[in-house]
Amino acid sequence: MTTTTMPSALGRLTQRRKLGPAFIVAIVVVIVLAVLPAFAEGYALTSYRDVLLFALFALSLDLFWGKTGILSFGHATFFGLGAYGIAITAIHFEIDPSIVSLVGMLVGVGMAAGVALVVGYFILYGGVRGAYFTIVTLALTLIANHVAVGWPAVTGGDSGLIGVPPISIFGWTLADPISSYYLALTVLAACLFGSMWVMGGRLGLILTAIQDDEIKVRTLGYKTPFLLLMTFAASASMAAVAGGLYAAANGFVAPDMIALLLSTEVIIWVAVGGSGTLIGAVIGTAIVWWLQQKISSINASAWPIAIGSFFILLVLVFPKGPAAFVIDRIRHLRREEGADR
Amino acid sequence: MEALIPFALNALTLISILLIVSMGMAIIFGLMNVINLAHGEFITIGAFTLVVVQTLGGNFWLALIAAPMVGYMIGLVLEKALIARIYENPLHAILVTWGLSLILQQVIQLIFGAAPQSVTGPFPGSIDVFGVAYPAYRLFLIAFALATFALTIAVFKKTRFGLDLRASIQSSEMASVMGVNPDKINARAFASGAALAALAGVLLAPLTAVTAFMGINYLARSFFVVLIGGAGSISGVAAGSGLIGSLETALSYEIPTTVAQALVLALAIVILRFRPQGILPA
Amino acid sequence: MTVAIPPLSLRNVSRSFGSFQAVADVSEDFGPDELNCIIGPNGAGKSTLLNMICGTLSVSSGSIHFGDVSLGGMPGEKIANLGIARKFQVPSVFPSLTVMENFHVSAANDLSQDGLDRILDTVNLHADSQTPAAELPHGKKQWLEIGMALSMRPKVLLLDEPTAGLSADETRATAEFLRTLKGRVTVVVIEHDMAFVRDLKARTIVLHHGKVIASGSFADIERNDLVRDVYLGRK
Repeated sequence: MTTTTMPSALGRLTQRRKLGPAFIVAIVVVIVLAVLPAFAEGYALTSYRDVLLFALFALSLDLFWGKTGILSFGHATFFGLGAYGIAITAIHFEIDPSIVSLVGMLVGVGMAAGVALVVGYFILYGGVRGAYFTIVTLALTLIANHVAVGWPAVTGGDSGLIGVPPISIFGWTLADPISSYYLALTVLAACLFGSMWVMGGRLGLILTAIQDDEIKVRTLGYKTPFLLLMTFAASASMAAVAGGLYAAANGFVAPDMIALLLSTEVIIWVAVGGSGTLIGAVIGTAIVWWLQQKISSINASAWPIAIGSFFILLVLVFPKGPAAFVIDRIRHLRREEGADR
Repeated sequence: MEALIPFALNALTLISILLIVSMGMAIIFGLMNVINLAHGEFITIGAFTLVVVQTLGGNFWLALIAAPMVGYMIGLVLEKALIARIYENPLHAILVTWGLSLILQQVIQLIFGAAPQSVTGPFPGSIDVFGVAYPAYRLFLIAFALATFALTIAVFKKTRFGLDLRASIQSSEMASVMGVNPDKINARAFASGAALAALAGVLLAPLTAVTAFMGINYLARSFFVVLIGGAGSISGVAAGSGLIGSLETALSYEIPTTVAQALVLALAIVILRFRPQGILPA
Repeated sequence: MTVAIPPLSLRNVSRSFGSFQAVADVSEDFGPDELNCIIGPNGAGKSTLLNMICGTLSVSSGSIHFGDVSLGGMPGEKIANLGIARKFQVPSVFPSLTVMENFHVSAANDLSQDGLDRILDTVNLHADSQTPAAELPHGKKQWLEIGMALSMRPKVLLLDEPTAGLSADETRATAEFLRTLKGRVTVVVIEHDMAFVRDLKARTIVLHHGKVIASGSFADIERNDLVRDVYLGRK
């Protein structure tokens, strides 16, 4: 994908990377997830698979938001483009069944990368950063949702499209819960370690440096809008992979996969896990999913209200994110203990 | 020629709607520089004020007076409780106001239910305009929106409040040296923006499906009206509304309305690339 | 160093902001054979001149060449990649990164570990290499930024008030260090501190209201009546 072409385009990226505690946590998490199917089956396993795909989606947002500090409010657009890409390809075109899901994935990822590049070009090269970027990406989700709802001939309108075939790689179909679970886990693990590896190198440092002082980074010889644009496109492509796999695994697409609420939820998944850590996005998604099961069972309105309250708490109570909040608390307690002695 | 009149009137109606919807945004976002993603919900609150007033036996005109008051009060309370803490950080503003928006939507739905509410506007008949019969209410809307726009500009240019607000935006320290309390001015400005949005809600209600989620349709559009018109200038709102409203009306003749809206927003992003300061910058 | 460094030449460079003429008709050549120092009162256009050289500001008229290459209209990062490094007036380092990470962002690809160690020695930051830049005292931030500029292996080093906020000892050390660069790197320094300029033994250019009113050795400049009137006399 886009990331692999970056070092050569940059010319100056060298391999001085360090892998911290987050990497060890990531290995533990992946091992736990790999043995999980031994303790779950059928319906539970398909739920866990969906959580893995949402975690991949959250990872994609963290790759951009966590590393550049620019919040995208439009990531559901890319998830949705991935989902609609595979659905429309499979349902409206007659393609050899052995390759249709691969073609569909490519179409979805291609559309997402294309939209991210075009929109990202207009706003990032236009010098738009921070809050304005967030508004434009919010509008992007609205636009995408308008199109998904308002073009029923292609998208199925409000009811979406059913009959998306499962992922099939040259005739080898991954339809049953176990194999689709491991497909999701494999893709998630590859994207997770790949992102950690790339961001653990010079690119991660440069992106952090851009947050501190973009003009200074330019005087050091980096094309900062290009780096931000490529990170955005890589992040959008990863979101589209998550969306495409989700549509194929569940067999349908619907407009709520390309809606503002999903854009909002993914922000929470990342924020709960602590943005910028990458593995935090995966853990955060699992925690929030579990909470959502509990809270949604109370009342349909309870979940959106919980999300809304969470956003307000996030800013007023733990602005560095709940994870950092907890870590700070623990450090604080330890320091007090130390002082007592 | 005959065919152009309904087009012009339709465009004028949409421009008026955008104008009145975006004026509150122009104050809160354009002048105060606060990103308020709950702006749509103040519109919803205005529309539901009409629902409540009509359920209680009152008429449209009573709601037209009540809604801005309700909007102002709620705006004032929310500013004191939440918004005042987030002026410094745009990301925080985004998260808090979005959280607020989600909560308001659900609370309104819990109270009033999910089904669209029915409201009735005044002036049910049509009026003959150059040989074309056009709904009287829409003509009233156009006139009312223009009048409100003129009045808002007058308030900002001529009154003490407008002067204090512009001073405190330029430099809150300077303003406080001159005896203006910036906290008070901010609260009143935010509440005024909320009041204008609520007023827009009442005016919109007879033309659209009144649900808890109606505001979101106007959120992105009013942002773009302000951005394209030129943040920081109230008169820019007219330019922004004019451009977005007429484009959307023209496109809606050929393609589905939702897709036309999508296309116009996309075009707005392109315009901002080449004219980031808007059409009529302050 | 054997690589010949082409001169940085400014021809009739002007810049105005609205009706205000910040830099007017400056023509100068800067080469590695001597240190170059630009002095002048506040608002004389010194920083504007540096900003135009490194592409942060465009010239209103005139041209800037680095050897045969015209820098006009070139984006800042391209100019940096030609080997023109710049230290800002307010020390701009990346506070979220450690000292070592700051260097990893700035360092040229062909900079070896030895080279980096030598720079760390020069700017005296070995002991702080794992300290977040945000926690460095002001003087060390200045040194870090100079070190970062050096790690780009620059051909031209533009320094905007490198001694601002430094102690007398640190200032002397800076001058001593800059003198070692003579002949290897083209150095252009903007400075206020007269003792430092005298110490540098640099070619000195006096800017006043955007115009060059005198240039030559510091001793010549000190003897120049016009310069005394507008600048030195007012100390």
